[in-house]
Amino acid sequence: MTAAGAARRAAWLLAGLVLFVLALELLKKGAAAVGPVLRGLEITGLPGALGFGWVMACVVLSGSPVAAIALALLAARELSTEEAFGMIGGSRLGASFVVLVVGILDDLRHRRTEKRSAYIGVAALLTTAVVYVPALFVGLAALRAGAFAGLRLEGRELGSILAGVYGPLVSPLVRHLPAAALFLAGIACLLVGFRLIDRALPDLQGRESPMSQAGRVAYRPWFMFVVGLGVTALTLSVSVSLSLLVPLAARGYVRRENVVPYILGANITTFIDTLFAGALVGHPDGVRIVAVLMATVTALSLPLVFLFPYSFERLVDHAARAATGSGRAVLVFVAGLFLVPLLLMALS
Amino acid sequence: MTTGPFDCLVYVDASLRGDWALSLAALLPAREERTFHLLATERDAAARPDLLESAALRLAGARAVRRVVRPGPPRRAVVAEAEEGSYGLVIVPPAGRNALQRMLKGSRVASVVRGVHAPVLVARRPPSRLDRVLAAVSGGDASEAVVAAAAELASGLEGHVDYLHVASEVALPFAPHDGRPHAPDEDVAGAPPDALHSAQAALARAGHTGALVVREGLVVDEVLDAFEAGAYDLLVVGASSQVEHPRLGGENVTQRIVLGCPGSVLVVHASRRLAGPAA
Repeated sequence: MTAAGAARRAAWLLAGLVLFVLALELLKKGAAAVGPVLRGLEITGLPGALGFGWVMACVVLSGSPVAAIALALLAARELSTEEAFGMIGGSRLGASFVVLVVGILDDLRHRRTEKRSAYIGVAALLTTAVVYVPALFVGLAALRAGAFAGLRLEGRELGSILAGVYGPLVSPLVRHLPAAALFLAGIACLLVGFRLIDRALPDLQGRESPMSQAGRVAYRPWFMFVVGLGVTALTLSVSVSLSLLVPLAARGYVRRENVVPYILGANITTFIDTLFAGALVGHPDGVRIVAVLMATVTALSLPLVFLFPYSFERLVDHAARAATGSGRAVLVFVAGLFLVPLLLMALS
Repeated sequence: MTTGPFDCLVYVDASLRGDWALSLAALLPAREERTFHLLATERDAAARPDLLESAALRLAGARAVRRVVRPGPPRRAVVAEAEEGSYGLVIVPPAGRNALQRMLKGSRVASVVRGVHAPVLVARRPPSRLDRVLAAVSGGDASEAVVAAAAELASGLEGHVDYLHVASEVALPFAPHDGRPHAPDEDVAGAPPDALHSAQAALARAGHTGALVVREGLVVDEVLDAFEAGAYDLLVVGASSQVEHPRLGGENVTQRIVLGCPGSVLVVHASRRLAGPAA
């Protein structure tokens, strides 16, 4: 990479981070407008927040903005700690929906009936669900038991620094714009911020890497897990991380043996940006709830990678093949993907 | 005594598994043209002085039967003997260890497959005849050797061989796909040739026009499932060059198939053919 290229990427990254923090400030200020919406939808309690986060992630085609919104709502006291925890967990359950959507479109475009692209999206969603659903229960128990109490940050000092930096920009907006507009502006800033951070990523096209043979060689589960952890720590997003496999894996194919452990790793480090947001929103439990979820997801993923990797791969592969066996099967899967969270919201 | 490509090394011990190796050796075609080298460890030979003699009786009719006794644990004895001679085939039974024991002590057959250059026949409870052979053709560097070995065996046994390819790869979303099948040796922007087409080419080069059954899924699971579903007597798989020179983080698929298969497995290394009178 040339010096100019590096400087350009650093500028994208800086701009992305500035927008990310600005987005959190706007979301906090505009959160008052969301409270009546949540109450109108009767979204209360953990199941409702989980379903809401899940559906939102499917709608905005990304999990990280929804997790950041949950933290902003927590900071604005529109969500309780447990509800924010549920919404963040739900955001992860729907986060890979974009991979499924792109996969379905790709299969339709190529009239593909085998080696379907939709497989990756289904595998990502299923792998996430198998780990996150029990992790949410374990995490909730851990939260109630006071786990990671040492991570309760009052955030006053940080809050005053942010107010000093962003106050001159945010204060006039708060005075002149309604709360709903502030909230929508926050969402827009968040999405643009993530887009800019994505642009700051190094170009991996054509580079030799351990993943260059991922379309042909089966790697050990622990190896793919570590690659998934590493790549997603840089990209912060499971879907972006999966899309990075394209230039890395020769000819755009990946062996299915390599998919599941990669996603398990990606599902852990995808929380890094949410952890960052948790530290910035200024709520004492902001970091703690993310850390609890990250810890429980890690604790449940490790046995799947190191003790029963092949059984788990087999389970996900069978389910993903069944769900992508025909166009109708894909439709049923997508319908279920929306029905389950809507049911959770309805039951809350 | 020197050994040659027509010679089979058979590991023998007093266990039921040792008997499997002998039974399988006895099922090989053209016994009268083969020389069998029966190998026992010093410990087993001392515990059962008649071990090799009674084993030799099971192979009556062979061109010759030689007895070999070596020190050390079985895996070391087999690898040392196989590498000193130039055997056309090494027959060894599994040690019968469970997953935990394998984790602690390692796997006998895996060590032999890794350490021996000759084809290795892993003997498990053999049927009365070897009629049905399944050859797993990956499209990798061992494919031609697998096709040749399976065909030679089936022809000598007057049996039937089926060829199986497992398509494990799935298309990545976001990727540009031209959807065009590529020739096996075609260089597509430095990309590797398509595994299925390579497998088909390996069959064509060997002069086999029979159907190649293609399954989609995880390679190990699909191969083992096809083996059981088809009630095959023998599985032939290739050991690519990765078995001898593993890449960073690479999975040893051959080893997992050998350890998981309920029946006997012939492992053929890349670029090495099964040599014997049946050829």
